[in-house]
Amino acid sequence: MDLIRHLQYFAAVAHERHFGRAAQRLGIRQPPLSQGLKRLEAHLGVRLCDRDSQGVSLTTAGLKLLPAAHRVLDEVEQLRLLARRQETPSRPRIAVRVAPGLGTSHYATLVAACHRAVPDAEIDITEQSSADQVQDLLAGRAELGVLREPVVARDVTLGPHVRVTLYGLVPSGHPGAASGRVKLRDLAGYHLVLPPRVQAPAAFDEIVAVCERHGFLPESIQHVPDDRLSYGLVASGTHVGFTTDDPRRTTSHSSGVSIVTIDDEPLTLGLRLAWATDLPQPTDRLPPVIVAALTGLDVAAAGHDATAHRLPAASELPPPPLYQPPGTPRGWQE
Amino acid sequence: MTDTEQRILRCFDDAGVFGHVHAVALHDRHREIGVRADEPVVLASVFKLPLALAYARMVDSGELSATDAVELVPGIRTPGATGVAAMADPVTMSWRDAVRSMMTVSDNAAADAILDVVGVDRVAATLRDLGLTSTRVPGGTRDLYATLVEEFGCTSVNEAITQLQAVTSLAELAAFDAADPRNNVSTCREMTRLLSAIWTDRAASAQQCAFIRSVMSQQVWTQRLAAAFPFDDVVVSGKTGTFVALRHEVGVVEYPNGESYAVAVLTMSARARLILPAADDAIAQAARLAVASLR
Repeated sequence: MDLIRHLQYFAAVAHERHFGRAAQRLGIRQPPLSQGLKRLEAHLGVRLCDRDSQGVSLTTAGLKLLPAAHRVLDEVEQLRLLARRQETPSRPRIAVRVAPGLGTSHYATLVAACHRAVPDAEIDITEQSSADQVQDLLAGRAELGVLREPVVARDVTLGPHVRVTLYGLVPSGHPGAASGRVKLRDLAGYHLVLPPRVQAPAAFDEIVAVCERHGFLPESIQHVPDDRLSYGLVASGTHVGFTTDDPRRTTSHSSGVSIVTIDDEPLTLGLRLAWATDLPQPTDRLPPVIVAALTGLDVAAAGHDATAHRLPAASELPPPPLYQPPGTPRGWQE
Repeated sequence: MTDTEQRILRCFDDAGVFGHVHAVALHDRHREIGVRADEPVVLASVFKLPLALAYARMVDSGELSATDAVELVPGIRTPGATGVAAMADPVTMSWRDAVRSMMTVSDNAAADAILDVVGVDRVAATLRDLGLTSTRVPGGTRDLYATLVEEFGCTSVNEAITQLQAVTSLAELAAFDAADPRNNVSTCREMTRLLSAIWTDRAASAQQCAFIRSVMSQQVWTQRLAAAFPFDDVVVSGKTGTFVALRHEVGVVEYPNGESYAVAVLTMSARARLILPAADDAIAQAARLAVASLR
């Protein structure tokens, strides 16, 4: 006998407590259902249900066997699902982790570019601190990381480096809001909102150092993980912050907040791509696409060559930092 | 991992540095604590400690007189930010004062003059003798500068350092790579072993060991080890090492009741800032945590 099919009859009768409705549920006529149930009872050697004027009621044995019947049927269903999944292999999943700090417009470009580059994969983009990213890359929980620099990352392969310009986030009433430009020293007297230091301590210290160097010693520094609260604090008129959202491309924003260009020291969000040991297909298509998305370049122009970072020749290095006092031979080994 | 080790790692993370620590109770050799204590690290000026020891053994063997004079001439001597290396005119001093200048203010001119007379072979023999197999000193400050100038293809050390600061991934530079055979390298554990040998008069004669201990107690920089033990009756002797992203100090903390602890903290920062108070603080904090766990 077909035990599975007969267990389905039993489960249907137990559910409906009525032969007519159970037969309907199973899409068969009633006589074969009755006969089937009798055959099952004979096979198991117990009586499963009693028929009376009210309908059908399960015997004590029937009640005891019902959960086991359900378990068998569930397992059979799982088996079929699993088999179906093998027929059409699921799309490869690529987990991309990004250090906090990027604004909405960069994410919009980044996510769209990744989906375009690898349309046949499920790309899962989430935010994570650099330290946690390294752990997840090494443990195989993520395929690609976008770390916040400066970072001392051991054991992972470092890919290309990207600098994303930071803009000022000032209250609409700030004098710089009208012109769309400020110098860092124009922010003096305001409190500074930054993402929590614990997410990227060295990067946090670096931004604060650049602010102080250029005449902006904040009244206080508030560690805020949430963009909405940051914008609210800035809109309140007492705080300023930074964002990667380009004022020329960002149209609508919370009222009371203006995005302005910083004129003196260009503040940047340094990011570096990283992965475990090597980049498998099709993840290797993503690094140039991510770099292009973050730098605002044409994706096609960036090419599709995911070459690992190499040390730049001296001629390719950016100009020396401005903060080094001329003539003072600092940095000598001491 | 113990609670203290975790706290030490957290304090390194918080300062944005990759750090290594080893501390051992010299009055009770069984107790020690380490975080990445056996990982090789580029020494920066900490190499001047094994060099001082090789000098001391040369004095012991009668090959060099501590009071003989050495002349350090501008243009020939190695330049630097401190000591004779930073001066304008010729300086003549005794060998032992050259060692003092090398150890207390990390004088590069004095160090390379001492390395010239001692030689890398004597330093290697000293290390071998003490069983420090993970430590090597293939050159002095001059050699480091030559490597840098070559790596960046420029004409001066200052130019090389400026370019080096602009490099975004310091860990990839040869000057910070412990595997590069041109670099002076050791581990925290071997540095505390070296200190232990100096503090127990095993590294050289008792007289010369006392000399090295005394110059180390004259260390002028107090932001690192000494900052962790700011007690007038506690003696902190140390040798620092600083080069762009590298910030180190190895030394001994001595309490008046006889407790003494050798501590080595070697760090590399993610940022190439020349002044990083957070990294100096992290060295102090790591030393404070390590020693507290052994007391």
